[in-house]
Amino acid sequence: DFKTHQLPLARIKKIMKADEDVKMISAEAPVLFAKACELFILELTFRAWMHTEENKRRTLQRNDVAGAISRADIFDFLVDIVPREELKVTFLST
Amino acid sequence: MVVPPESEELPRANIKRIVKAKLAELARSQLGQERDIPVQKEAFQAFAESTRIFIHYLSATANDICRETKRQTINADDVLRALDDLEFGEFVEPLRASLEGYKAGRKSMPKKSSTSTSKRKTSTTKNKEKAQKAFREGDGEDEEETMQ
Repeated sequence: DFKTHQLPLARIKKIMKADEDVKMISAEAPVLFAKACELFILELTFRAWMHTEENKRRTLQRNDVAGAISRADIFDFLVDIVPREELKVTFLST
Repeated sequence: MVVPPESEELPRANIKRIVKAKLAELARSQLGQERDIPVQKEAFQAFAESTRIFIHYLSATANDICRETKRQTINADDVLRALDDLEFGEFVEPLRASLEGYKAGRKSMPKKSSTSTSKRKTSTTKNKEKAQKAFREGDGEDEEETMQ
């Protein structure tokens, strides 16, 4: 089902190259990154949505993304990027 | 440690599209019907920020793998191995398939050259820490055409 990428390759390349350690990138790399990012977003969306559901809300909030990140080891690297709000919010909604 | 300077953000519109499509699919499978799931603007921001840091984290890891074999150019295998290392191994097969599709589509086109950046030597870095320090406020919303 190969179509145009959902995310722009040029932008991805720029982000990669912001790291000075990264020297040369083969032409395939941004292609893989674009798809990996898409899969990453899908996974994070799914888990955030589960958090929304558990809290019996209809709107997906930033705190749901934070909740998803705090629960999964694979998202450990994001813990400081999207921190959870105070616990009282969670207590009140359950 | 070398910290990536303020890096660009991914276009918010593209991220929004991916998130909304996934939520519509989840709502459909759960409720048996289409329903628009509202998403807080700050949540889209969180998706964008997280994805940008994911790129830094994956790049740094793939770069380390590349260097281990004394090469300079990050290739597909480096990226796939990096995904495995970072516990995103389930992405590997879909990515392989996607890459094959891309290559097949480009078979008749001239080869692209590798991209390069101006370089200086750096010491080893802790990639997680680097990824977290790479976090900066982005430029805000914008749109960009997706490229083939």
